[in-house]
Amino acid sequence: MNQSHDADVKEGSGGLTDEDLMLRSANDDVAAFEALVGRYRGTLVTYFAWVSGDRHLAEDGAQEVLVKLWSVRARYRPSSRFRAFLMTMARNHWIDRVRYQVRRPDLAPEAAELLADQMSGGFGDPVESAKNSERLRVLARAVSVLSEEHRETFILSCVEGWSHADVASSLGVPEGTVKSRLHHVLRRLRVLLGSPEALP
Amino acid sequence: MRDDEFSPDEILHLAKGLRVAPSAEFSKRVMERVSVEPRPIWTSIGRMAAVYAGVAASVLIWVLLFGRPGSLPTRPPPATAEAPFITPSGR
Repeated sequence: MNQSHDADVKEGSGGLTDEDLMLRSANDDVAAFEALVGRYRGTLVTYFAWVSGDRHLAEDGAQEVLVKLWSVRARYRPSSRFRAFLMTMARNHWIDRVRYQVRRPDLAPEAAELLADQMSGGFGDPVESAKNSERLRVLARAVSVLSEEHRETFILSCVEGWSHADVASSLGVPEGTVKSRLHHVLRRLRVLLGSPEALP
Repeated sequence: MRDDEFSPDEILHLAKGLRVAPSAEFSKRVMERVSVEPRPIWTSIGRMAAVYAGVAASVLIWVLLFGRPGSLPTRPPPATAEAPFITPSGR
């Protein structure tokens, strides 16, 4: 897990689980909700960025989902994992409200280039970040070639570091499907990265 | 393995760098919007219902404790001499 993500997770949490914070939010605890925003803003922006390929759409989408989360807070029941609850809202928002604004169903390579300029680097150490930046660009272009369902599985699992169970419940698929998708994704990425000159 | 080749471990390591950081003002903008968001209507209705139920219960307790004797039935009416005596067999 990278440092920025750690910072997001710890921010304002006070050792409470996501579910605890959401239940407090349901009782109009604004501070608890702010802690949740701190935990999941990065995840949501990253998710929307890598499905839409547009940084501004990503920020808007993440913001809309969080505001909607506040407005439906009283409906939350702790029987379901908070992550699944949030990501279901995010995916519905992407499918219903944002996807039609993006011309191509797949992520355009030029979008990956744009995103590569704005990525957090995520390695903490600036020297390591600089060393890896070129390889990161190549990886970004390869990820842009993946199908949308493979890309969102890769983002939640490998970029965000979520467990297979969390990814499965968030995407509404069995855990075996997540494992199978990841297997295919890593194999495909290795092939693509083996000949970067062939990437679009 | 060639120098420029990516191992699965390196892919997973580099993947962390694909994270897109939100802008500095992101949380502030969300919380500003949340602060002006109206409360869900059913929550307000639920709270009003709770207040009314509390008031009604208080009034009922007051009447039971301090109401004029006889104004409320506090015991069953006395049995009359003609009251039928019914056995379990129905006679």
